[in-house]
Amino acid sequence: MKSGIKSDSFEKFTVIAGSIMNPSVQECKDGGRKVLGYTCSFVPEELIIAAGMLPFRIRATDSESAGRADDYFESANICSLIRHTFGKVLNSEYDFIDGAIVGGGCDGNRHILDNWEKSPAKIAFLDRLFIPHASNNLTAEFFLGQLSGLKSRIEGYFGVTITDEKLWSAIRLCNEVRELQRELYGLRLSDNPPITGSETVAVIVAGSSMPKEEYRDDLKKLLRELQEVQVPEKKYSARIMIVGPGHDDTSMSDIVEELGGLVVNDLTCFGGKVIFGSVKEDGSDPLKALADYQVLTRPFCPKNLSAHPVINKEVFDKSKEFKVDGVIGQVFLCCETWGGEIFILNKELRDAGIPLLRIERECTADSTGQLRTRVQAFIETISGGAL
Amino acid sequence: MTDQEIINALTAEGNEYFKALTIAGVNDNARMGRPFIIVSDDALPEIPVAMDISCSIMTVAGAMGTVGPGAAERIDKATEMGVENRLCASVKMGAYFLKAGILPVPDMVITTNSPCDAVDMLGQMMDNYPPWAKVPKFRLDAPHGQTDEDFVYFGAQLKEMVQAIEKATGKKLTMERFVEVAEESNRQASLIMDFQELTRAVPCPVDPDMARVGWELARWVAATDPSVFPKATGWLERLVDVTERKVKAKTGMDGVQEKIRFLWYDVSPSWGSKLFPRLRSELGAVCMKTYYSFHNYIPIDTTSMDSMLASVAKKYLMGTPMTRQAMHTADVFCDDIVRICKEDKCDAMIMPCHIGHRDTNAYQKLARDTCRANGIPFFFLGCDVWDERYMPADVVFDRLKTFFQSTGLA
Repeated sequence: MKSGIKSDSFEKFTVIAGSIMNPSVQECKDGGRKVLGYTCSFVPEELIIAAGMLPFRIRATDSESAGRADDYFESANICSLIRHTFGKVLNSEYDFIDGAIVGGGCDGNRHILDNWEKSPAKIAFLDRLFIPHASNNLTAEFFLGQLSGLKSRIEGYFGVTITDEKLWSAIRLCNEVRELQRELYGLRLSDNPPITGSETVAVIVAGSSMPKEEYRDDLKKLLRELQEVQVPEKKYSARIMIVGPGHDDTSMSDIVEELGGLVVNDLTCFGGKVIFGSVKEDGSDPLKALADYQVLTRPFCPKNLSAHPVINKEVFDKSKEFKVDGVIGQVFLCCETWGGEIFILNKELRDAGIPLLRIERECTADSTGQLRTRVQAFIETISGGAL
Repeated sequence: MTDQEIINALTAEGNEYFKALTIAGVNDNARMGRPFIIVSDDALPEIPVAMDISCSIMTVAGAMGTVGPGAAERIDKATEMGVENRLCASVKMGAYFLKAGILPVPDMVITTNSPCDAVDMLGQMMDNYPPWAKVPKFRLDAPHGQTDEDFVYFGAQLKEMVQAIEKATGKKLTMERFVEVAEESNRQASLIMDFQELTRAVPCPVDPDMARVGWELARWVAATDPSVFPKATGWLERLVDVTERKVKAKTGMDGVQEKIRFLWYDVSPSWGSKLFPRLRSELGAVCMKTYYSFHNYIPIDTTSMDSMLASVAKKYLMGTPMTRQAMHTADVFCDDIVRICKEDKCDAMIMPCHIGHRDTNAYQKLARDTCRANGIPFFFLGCDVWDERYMPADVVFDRLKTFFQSTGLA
């Protein structure tokens, strides 16, 4: 199911989300702006922007094979998102970045750096950011120390100065973008939204792959266009929320929407988690504001031992607000943290009368035949029959 | 008693103590009358021993569930729960014990992300287990770094944890008692180091796996029952005595014609009794180290409460097997391989890579490259240390035999 959006901005977002290197990044590179890659949503883009560089979220979009990454990672025991992402690194698809920060969200993510440092793809600036696994004042303070160290290393290596003023400016920019993204999400509150879930994924993924100011302006334009669009009548039979790890391509949403469902919301590492809340702008220390935001405001990663109640609340709140008929809990094979989270959530949702379909899959679009059958049965069940 | 009789007695004593770590033992611990805490992983025994409380460990109870008759059926039941198919079986079993409703309600629950994502997941399940909803919880964030800043950070959390335990149980941690326990812990660590050094003799005098037994007694069993803590010191002293005698006499392990010494770089399998004795008797191949028989001396600094907590933190982060190998950078993992092979005069390195252990499975190339660069024959096995069905012990034996033959060691 496609909404039929006709918009240059949307076309641009789709191209950017569907590939790694893209014209906006190329333009930055041509203009001499450096690109700093990062692997986890807990790495604050604001820090990179304040350093005058372009933050680029490293992902595995469109990967068909983990390739040489399987020499490093044992394929039956490491999540495909990690292997395919590193496969792209080894395959020179990230040669355009000038450095990378690997966030230690999960064990697999952490070990990308270990292997990257010892691989032929090694680049001079490879850094790690340890992300706390509990949310309290002590862990937020520790994370502040981590951010401070990272800031110094970026300044030292790239010869830049990250002032408080630049950080506040980057914080305001990213807050504005998150607000616009939430506005985009809000469009699917309607019974008959002008944009589908799959299209929304593309817009959000593009946001971490191009200059933020350019993205903000294009997103504003898209939102204006979507307000004016003539929406055809309802064509879906069930409103679905997707919960799970990195959802860096549209394959899962595509399946749902091709089979008559509409993805109205998500809580994933490239979607709902990224756009949640805002960094406080009224403090005196911008790094502390960033640390508090990542550790205390949005502890949505199930690797965080404090995460479940927050995830539970967000899923229940959004299910109610967006009139969700059913939740798809997707887990990548070998991802214990989301495996456990969906396991716990499954019972809670069922007890509340919200159906959940648990899907274990690889991050690539392979095996979609089997997935389609299960998703189709789920949609038919919760909607009372085929469309 | 002959030396071998002493070794047999120490082994039997250890096995008897280990009953406290099983699921039945967990329920017994709850009935001891002491405040009772369930932790997701390693219990830092210095604190519960000094506070006279009982701590049972979910992952250890899970691992014990993979041993002995009916293990396969229990693993299957745990798998059927549907948490995650390729999850480490010891953690899966721990989760199963929890969901099966056969655990007592503790006075407190402590969870941690150490050593791996699977334990983290188990912690989430414990934290959100409805029958324990009203039980006080504490979450420990184990950092991945290995600097003083990391140890101080973890130590500060331990300080908060102690306060939380005091509030939940009414027990107090006094400086005087903590120093006593820390000094005893340092003594135990020294004895383990002495044993480790003695086993480096050629031929190896006593199965180096006894270091694991001693360590588990002093830490896991003592955490469940603080009265075992001083007994563990006595056990280690007897072990060192007998090993010293055997080194002086230049006698190797009973009935073993030592030809090959190897490093098994993982947990010792729950079915190891079918493998290691056969390797020794048929091939003269002695396993010199596993994760749990390799130890580093990290003393507790008893200068002040803060110094004790920071050094207990360091000991936990850098000295606890699995945590040392899984939580830190690849350099720690690979440097240890070279160090062990050199110090223990190992002829080869075996990498079993148990199912669900993401960390080791992310290091297969780095470990291989490290071994190649240092002239250490390397073999990647890909078995499961918990569930023998992935690769039965006799198949593992055959594969190792072929490897040793093809490298000219056998």
